[in-house]
Amino acid sequence: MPTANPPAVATGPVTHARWNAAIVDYFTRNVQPGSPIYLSVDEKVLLAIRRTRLGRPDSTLKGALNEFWWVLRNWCRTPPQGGGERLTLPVKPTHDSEGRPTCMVFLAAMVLAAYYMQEDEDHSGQAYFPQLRDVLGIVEGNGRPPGLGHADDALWQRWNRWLGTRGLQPTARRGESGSWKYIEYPLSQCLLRRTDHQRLARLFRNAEAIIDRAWDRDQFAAHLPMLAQRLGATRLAGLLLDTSEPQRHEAIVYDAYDVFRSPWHEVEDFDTFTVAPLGPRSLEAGLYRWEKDRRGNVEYLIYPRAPRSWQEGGLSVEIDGRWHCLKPERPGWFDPLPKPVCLGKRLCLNVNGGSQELNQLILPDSPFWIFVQDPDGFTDDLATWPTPCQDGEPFVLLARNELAKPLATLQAQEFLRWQGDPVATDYDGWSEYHDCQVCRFDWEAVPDLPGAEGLVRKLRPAGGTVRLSLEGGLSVSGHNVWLEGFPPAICVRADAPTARLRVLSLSQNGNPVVQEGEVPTHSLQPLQLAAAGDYSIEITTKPRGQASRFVRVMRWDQLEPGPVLRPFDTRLEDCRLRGACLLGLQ
Amino acid sequence: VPIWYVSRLVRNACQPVFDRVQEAVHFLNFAQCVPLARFSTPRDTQRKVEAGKGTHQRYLFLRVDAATREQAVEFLDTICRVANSFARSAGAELKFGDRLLPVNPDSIPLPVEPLIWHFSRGVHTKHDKQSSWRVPPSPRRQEENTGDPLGSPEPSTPSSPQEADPVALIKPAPTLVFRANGDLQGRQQRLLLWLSAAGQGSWDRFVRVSNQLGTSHDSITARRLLRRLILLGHVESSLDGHHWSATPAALVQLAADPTRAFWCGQRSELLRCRLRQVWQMPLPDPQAGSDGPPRWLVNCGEARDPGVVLKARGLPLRWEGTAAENLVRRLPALDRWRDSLLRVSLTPPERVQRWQAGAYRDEITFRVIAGCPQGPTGLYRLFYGDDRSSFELTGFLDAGRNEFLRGDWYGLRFLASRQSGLPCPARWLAHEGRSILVLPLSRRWPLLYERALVLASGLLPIQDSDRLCYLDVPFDLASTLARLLGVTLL
Repeated sequence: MPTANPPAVATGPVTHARWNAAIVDYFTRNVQPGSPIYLSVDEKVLLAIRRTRLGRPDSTLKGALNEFWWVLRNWCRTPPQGGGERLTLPVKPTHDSEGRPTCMVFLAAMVLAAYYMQEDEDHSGQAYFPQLRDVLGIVEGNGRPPGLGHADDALWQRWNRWLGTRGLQPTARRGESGSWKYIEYPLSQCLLRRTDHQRLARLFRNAEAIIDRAWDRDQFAAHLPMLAQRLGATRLAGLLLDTSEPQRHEAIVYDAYDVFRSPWHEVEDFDTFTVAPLGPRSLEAGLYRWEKDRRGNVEYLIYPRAPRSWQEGGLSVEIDGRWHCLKPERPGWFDPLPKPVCLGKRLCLNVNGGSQELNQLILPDSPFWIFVQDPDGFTDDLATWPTPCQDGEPFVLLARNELAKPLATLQAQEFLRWQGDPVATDYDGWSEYHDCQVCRFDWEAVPDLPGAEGLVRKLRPAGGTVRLSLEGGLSVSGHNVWLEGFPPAICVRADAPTARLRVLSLSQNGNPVVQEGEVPTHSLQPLQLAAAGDYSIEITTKPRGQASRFVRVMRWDQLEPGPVLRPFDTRLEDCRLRGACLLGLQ
Repeated sequence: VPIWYVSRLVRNACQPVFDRVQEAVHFLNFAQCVPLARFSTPRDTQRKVEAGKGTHQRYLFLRVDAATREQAVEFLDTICRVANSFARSAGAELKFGDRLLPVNPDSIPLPVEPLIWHFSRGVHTKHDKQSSWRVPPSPRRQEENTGDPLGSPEPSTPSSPQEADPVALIKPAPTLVFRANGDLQGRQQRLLLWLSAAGQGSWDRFVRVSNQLGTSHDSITARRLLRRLILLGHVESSLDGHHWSATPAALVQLAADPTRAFWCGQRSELLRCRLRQVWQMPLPDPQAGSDGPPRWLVNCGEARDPGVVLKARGLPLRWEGTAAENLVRRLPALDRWRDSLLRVSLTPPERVQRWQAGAYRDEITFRVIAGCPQGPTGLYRLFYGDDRSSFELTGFLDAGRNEFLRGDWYGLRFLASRQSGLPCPARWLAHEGRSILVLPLSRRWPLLYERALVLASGLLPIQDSDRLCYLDVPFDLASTLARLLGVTLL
């Protein structure tokens, strides 16, 4: 637990503004537009921020916490004057010179307090506020800290709004009512609590006999349900098993994987266990499906994924004895490697990570790969992007021929369908199934398919999932922005025939509701986003499903030239011609 | 993971029990391991009771995926406790009674009602193929065949037109009519703004967006449009034509008037506003026929070094001076240009056509032997595949070298005309106060050379019946280009 009165630390050049900017940078850099952002601040994150963003590579956890508290308490707390300590938050949320909200240190502290809650404590102010008071250093009294009022509501809204303007998906949400109306904000951001980390570490130790510590994240994710079953009917088991919000589940798996990579096998006292903040980390990779020509010849290339919170810097991979520099292809991904992949075995390449503490790139040995369309519309190629495919989204399945029989069973029982016959590839023993689609929700009725358990787990629709996708219209690739006069249509994918749609304008005064009504799922529905502005789209289905998305419609005159990552030019004898520009002239 | 059925006796009606239990299951995030509930048939009555109805004593069975019996019971107890507390909050009371031992699905010790109470999908009957279980087909995305990006930008002509004499065509003085269309011009401008913002993309995406904006309506008109944007220096294309990228924003001096410049490359209204604070910018000039985005002119006056001014004002625009003249000095002769084209290896096509006298005609002498194309030199269109996945490949067969070359269609047609010894004339004249180069439409120059003509003025050629008129092209520029291409300048 944090101490009530942390010792003063040498402040040096570290200021509230730098911590504020560093927190924003840590959570939003290198994130694909449209991705959900969880401000999941915990101790390892604060240490990582201080080490990588604030120029203190040798920082200790204690040092990072002390500095964070010092900055926090100086910003939001008045010194005790007779009546005791109280918060002095800005009346209106402010922003810095680059438009970032200035409340991020405070919001991080709110999430940190949720992280310190006990494992079995439920969503109540009684459990939360003592932790928040501890973090803020306000020891006297109980309940909501004095001076907080409902200022936190405006601060969280400001953060959500800012994320929206950056094309990112806010996830902090207010509770419906009752005692967790406002504390739901930080609780919705905290993925796993400190006690969850400790319980997980204990679980891994107890299950050591069935665990392989070399598992990569995909392998770990595949085994997690089996491990979570050992936790019994606990809140943590529910968290780890709940896939109704796929993106939140993925973030939780990521957090749990950080625990998995920590040295839990060396721990003697699990009550003091903390997750290793940094360490050798593998670069994950998927596959990029590249059509060599229009004759159906395809090649699969290794498609490295940029690690979360990666800061731009030199990363190179060793291929056949030569170092190949990784170039960012889009937020969250590097360019596919030039060498075609050898399917059917786990691939491990050396990585020269510079300061990034990355030392290998791993392509898991998977008996199948699922290729989906480019979610950003940059290309017409397919790749193993993490778009969920369990709710009717078409995909191409590349599978070992050993899976042909289980796949035929799934097809015969109408769980899965595809177009035409499986297409043999140039890769011996692998076939492609085109235009695949999951056709039934009740995958609990799938018979035992020995050898295909992983495939069934991957394709099995999660109960209660709601997903909304925006299609069509005219957008600027990768910016989550549509152009005036060409708004997108919405497609709701859920295991319910209809969903309630509500579109709110965030820009106009007066009645913010611009569209409301019941819409059929799994069909394209037009959105009435006539005017430029910011909109929030909310979907609810019975009994409990909900999803939301921020959409910006931009005026044509607001468009600005975008970066050209791969410029083409015409080669002349002594220079290159690009448009009207002669480049490389001596 | 084994599946268990765990049970508690209930004395309430099925629906309120299900509602509270469902609420508890979702609150606890257990829906993945506790997907459904069943009820046994009533115990305290001999009468026939409709499934799910009445307040008779029943056993509630929950299906639980759990590693052990004990854990399955733990799930049940937790859910019942939370369901009870939800019921109490709503002013009701759930009466849970004794429990049975957890059993496997096929060994439930009591008769159960046929209703399956699913926590995510609602209530249905066993063996019932409900439509709500089915994932409806995903809405079809509109797909169109965007064809070979290097294919013909000209609509195919079913008849075989007789080619007019190109020399006679260019002799009369041209009629310069702009025929601007304000609406189309606005759409062209929007397309360029979008291309500038997107930065790069595929040919397919270009066709989709252009069709959406109404600047083209099929792949043929889209090919023409992309070519015009390349001529104006706004975009570049990859060698195979499958990708494009926007070019840097730059100011290019008019060849005929060094005090004025026009804008090439990426555009934005915001940048235009900033530039207007430096130099005067008259209203945009429409392109002939509104075939492209309007020309943005800048009056730079006698500024000694406009590049320095742009830099000093922090404007992200390059100063390229007289780009056309600089380019012409570096252009290769036609033979060298041919050497720079993309060479491709071939497989035998299903059908072959060759461009002859202004139209494609079937060519039966063309062969591909061991990957090597053979046949008369010329511009070809090769057809591959069956009806389901057909595609075309356009290119130039150099019979002397057995090479199949890919590139700008007009350029390949020009090459074919030259190889066939057809006359390739051009005429330069001063007319209506402007210096004009006139070309026969059927002898349009390769893209790279034509770009030099367009960059002289920032204006696309005016089409005057079967000829093209390039405005404000200085004689020296025209004659150098004609020499490089082996064109007779009249």
